[in-house]
Amino acid sequence: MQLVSFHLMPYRPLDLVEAAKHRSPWVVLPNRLYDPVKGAEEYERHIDALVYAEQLGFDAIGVNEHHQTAYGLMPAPNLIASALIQRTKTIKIAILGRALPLVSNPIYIAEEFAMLDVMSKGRIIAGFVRGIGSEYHSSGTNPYFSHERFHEAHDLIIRAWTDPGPFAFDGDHFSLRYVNLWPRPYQTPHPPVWIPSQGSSETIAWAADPKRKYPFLVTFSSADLVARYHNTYRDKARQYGYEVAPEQLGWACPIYVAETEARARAEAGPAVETLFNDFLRQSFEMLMPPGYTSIGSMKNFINMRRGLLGGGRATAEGLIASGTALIGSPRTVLDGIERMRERTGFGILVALLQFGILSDELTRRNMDLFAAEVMPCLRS
Amino acid sequence: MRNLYHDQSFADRILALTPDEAQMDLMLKNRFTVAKLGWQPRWFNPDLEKWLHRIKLPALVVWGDDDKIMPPANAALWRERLPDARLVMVDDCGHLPHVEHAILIAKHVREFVEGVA
Repeated sequence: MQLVSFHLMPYRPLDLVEAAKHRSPWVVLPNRLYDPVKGAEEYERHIDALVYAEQLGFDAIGVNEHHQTAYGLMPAPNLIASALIQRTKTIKIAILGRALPLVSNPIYIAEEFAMLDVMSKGRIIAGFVRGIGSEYHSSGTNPYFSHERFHEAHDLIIRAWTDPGPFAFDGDHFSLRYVNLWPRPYQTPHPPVWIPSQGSSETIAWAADPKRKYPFLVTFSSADLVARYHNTYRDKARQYGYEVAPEQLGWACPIYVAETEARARAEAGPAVETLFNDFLRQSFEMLMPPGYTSIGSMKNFINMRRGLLGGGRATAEGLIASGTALIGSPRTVLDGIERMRERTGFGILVALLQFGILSDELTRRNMDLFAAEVMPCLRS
Repeated sequence: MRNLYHDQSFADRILALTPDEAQMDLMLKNRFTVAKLGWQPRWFNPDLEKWLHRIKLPALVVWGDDDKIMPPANAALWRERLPDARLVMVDDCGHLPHVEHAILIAKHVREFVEGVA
C-alpha cells in the first residue's frame, strides 16, 4: 500500500468563538482574523511536519489547494511543494491537487508542475481537481462550466507535457497559438495524475476511462461512502472492460493513533471536531453552487451528504463510528484500514495526521506511532 | 430564500415544502440556468448602465421598498436613466413584487400596457 502523509495547513490560531459568528470559515470570514506573524509560525511548523514524513518512511507528502479560508492556507500549493523539494531527497510530493477550472490559462499549471518535476528529479504526483464549490464563489469562476473547463484544461496540460511543441491548442475555453513548454516534465511521459474527488459520478467515470485509469481518491467521507465510491469506480472499470488495480483507489482520512483507545479519543477528539465543525463548516449553497455537478449528482449529494454538513455538530464518536475518521489504538486504526481494504481493495492511503487544532506535539506523536505500529503491517 | 421576501410567511411556506422528484428537477434546472447566465459578472453587469439611455420605449419600473437583493435605490437610477420610465415603488414588498403583491402588480401592468398601446 502506498502511504501519503497529507496536510491541509489549517490556521490553528483562529479565534473559533469569533469565527463562529460568521457564516463560514470559507469565503466570507473576515481576514482581520488572520495574523501574519502567527501565520509565519504556522507555515514553519506545518512544513516541518510534512518534511518529517520522509524520515518516517512514507511514500509521499501530500499538499492541496484551497482559497480564502482558514481551513487551509495553501492557495498556491506549488509554493509549498517547491519548499518541500528543497528539504527532502527521495520522498514523492503529491499536490492533491491544483484546481484546473479556476485559472484563466492552464498552461501556467502545466509549466509549474513541469518545473517542480524537474527540480525534484521526478518526484511529483500531479493531482487535478475542479476545486470545491466555495472556490467558485471566491474565484468568480462560473460553476456551470466547471466540468468543461476541467476537461479542457486537463487535455491542454497533458498535451503540453507530451506533444512536441510548439503546437496550437484551440478549445472552447482556452485557446493558445503557441504551446511549447520549457521546461518539459522530468518523468516520462509525464508526472502521475491523481484525481481527488468528493465522489461525483461524472468524475469517477472520467477517471476510470481506460485512456486515463487515474487513481481516484475519496476524501472526507464515511466508510460506507468511501466503499460505495470505490466500488462505483470498480464497476465503471468493468464496464470499460478491465479490472481495477489497488493503486487506482485511494482513501483520504483523518487518522490518529495513541497507545490506548481512551488516550487517542481524548487527544484527537477535540481536534477532529474542530476540523468538521469549525473549519469545514459551509452552507450547502456554498459547497454545491448550481451547475457544479450534473443534476443527477446534485440530487445524490443532497440525499447523502446533507447529514454530514448540515445535520448539527459532528462528534468525534460519530465520526469514528461512521469510519469518517480513524482514531484509536494501533490495532483499531489498522483494523479500520484493513476492513476498507477487504471491502474495496484500495491501495493508496492518504493519511491526514494533523487536522483541526491538533498541536505540533500531538501531530509528531501521532506520526511516530503510525510509522512504528501501523505502517509496518501495511507494508507486509 | 428569506432575503427574497418582505413578508416572511412566503418564505416559511416555501421552506416547509418537501419537493417531489419532478419539482426537484425543475428547481435544480432553474438554478443551473441562472448560474450559467448570471454567475460572471455576478448577477448583473454594471457596465450595461451606460446603454440604458438608448431604450426609448415606454418602461414601467416596479420595485419593492424592502428589496434586499437589489436595494430600492436602484429604482431611482433606472427611472433617471430610462428616457420614458414610470416608477412604482411597492410598499411592504421584497424582491418579488409579482409574488408578494400579485393583484396590485397585475393592475399596474394592465394600466401601463393599456396606456401605451
